Amino acid sequence: MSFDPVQDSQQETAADFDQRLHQLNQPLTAIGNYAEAGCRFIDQGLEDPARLRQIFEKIVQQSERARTLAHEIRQSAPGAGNA
Amino acid sequence: MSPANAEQIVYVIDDDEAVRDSLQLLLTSSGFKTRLYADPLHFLAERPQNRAGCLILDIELPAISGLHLQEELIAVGSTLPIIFITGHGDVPTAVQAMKAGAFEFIEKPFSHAHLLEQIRRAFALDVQKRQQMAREQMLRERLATLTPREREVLEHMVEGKASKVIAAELGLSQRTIEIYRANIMQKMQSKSVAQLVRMLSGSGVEADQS
Repeated sequence: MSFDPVQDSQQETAADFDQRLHQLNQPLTAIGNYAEAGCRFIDQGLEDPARLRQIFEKIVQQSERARTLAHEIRQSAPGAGNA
Repeated sequence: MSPANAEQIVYVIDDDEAVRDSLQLLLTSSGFKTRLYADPLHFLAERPQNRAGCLILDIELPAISGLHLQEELIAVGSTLPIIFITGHGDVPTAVQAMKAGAFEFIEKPFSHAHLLEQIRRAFALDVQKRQQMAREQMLRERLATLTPREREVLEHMVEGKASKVIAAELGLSQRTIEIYRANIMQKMQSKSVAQLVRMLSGSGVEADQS
């Protein structure tokens, strides 16, 4: 059995990359859920701007989370040449 | 076992706070009652066999894998349909979950219409399962009121034997068998042998169990 440090580190990076991509699904899922819930509340005649604002704020938070994750993914992408 | 008329709730187990919170809003806006858990062990500790509705379960939980939790739930007698949520299309895990009786497998990010449709289908299956369990329970209770001799006669009856044949096989008079038959029909609250056979055959309850 041979030990190939280059091969090993490449595999690790690929797994890590996959994990980060997976992490990106969390805020994307949350954004979709929040937006869909907001639409339903409006369709049901909810006229509480404070409540709707709260939902929009949550969407903003999750989109920021997604942006941060996307940035990290770009930094760590295999072949990105990051230091 | 939860009663057949228990209130149905969507139980959500997911370690991501935003996913949990947003699912709760989505489900509430769609008219479902929800209960959220970050830690599957908390859900397990709350007698899940008494729950009605369905379970939305993230397959990649840190404390205990979704598949392991599914095993635990089956072991304690929970019939709650499980909708697994996964991040990447992990086909082997999905296959394993479905084989173990998972209701559905949905990939993140998912279509809301699809998720809500699956929840409705899971609720319908949950009602069916609990009604079936309630029927079996009732049947067991009625069977428990039979004497050993009555149970013996019942076994012959459901095989479709006439009183005369049963009498000969058990070395009793036909008149005695007729009396047993009448008692059995009354205790089982059955109007006919055909109904009795139907009650027992679809139930998974054996006539000779005590």
